[in-house]
Amino acid sequence: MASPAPSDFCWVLNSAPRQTWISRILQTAAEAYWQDARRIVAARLGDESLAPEILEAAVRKTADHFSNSPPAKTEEVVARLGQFFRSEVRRKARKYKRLVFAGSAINLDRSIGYSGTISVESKIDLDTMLYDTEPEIRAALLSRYGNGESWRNIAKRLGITEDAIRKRCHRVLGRLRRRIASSHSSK
Amino acid sequence: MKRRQKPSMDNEDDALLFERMREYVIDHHPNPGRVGCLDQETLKKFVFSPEELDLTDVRYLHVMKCAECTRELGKLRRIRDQQ
Repeated sequence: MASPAPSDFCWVLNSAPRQTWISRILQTAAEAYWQDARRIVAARLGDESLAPEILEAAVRKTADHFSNSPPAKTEEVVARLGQFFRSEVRRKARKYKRLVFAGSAINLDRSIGYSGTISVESKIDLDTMLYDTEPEIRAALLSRYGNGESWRNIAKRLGITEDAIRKRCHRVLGRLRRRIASSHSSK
Repeated sequence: MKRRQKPSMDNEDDALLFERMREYVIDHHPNPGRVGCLDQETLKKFVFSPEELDLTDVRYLHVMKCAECTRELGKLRRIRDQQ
């Protein structure tokens, strides 16, 4: 079976009256984003065949987002499409994790107890956690990990304050901290 | 030379957390076959000129699941810091 063309995902826009400008731009945006979309789904969910369904959902949400807006630039629409797409991927990933862990309590480490979020996170690896994060945050964390750059230098390079970059990274750093701590406690 | 501290993940600049992360990757992700590794040139850019790389690209996450790349980055950081 042939792969769908990116513009096929915009069929979801035909079911309701839409402004022409968004339909046209979304077609271009879906085409521009398609290769990335397939790569992200394959890496994050392990099943590239989910990409069309997720992209359709993202197209629909993007159209809704811009439905009452004046015409926007293509780059803005692509960026928004990307955000909705990644959000959909994360939603699917969470749903799959719940399915994977249902009925597998026998494999859980009883010494750390069973608590949904903590048990799931103890099995997720560092790079997988970063797939979930915003690209800019991911880049900052990779820079610290590989380059050893300080928050101050990273903030300077991004043109924001040190406080701002640390706040933005705070949540994912917490997850990383818990992940590392759980690996120590399970030894 | 300072004595190496006990495992801890709290310090002002989160440097210890990232050190623990590297230790974790080295312990848990051996990759002797260098499958999917970044080339030496890219690893050098990582350390010496990160602005030349687009670190938003997910392929660079490889370093966080490869002990060999993580060790190599450590070596390059030491060379850089001695210069």
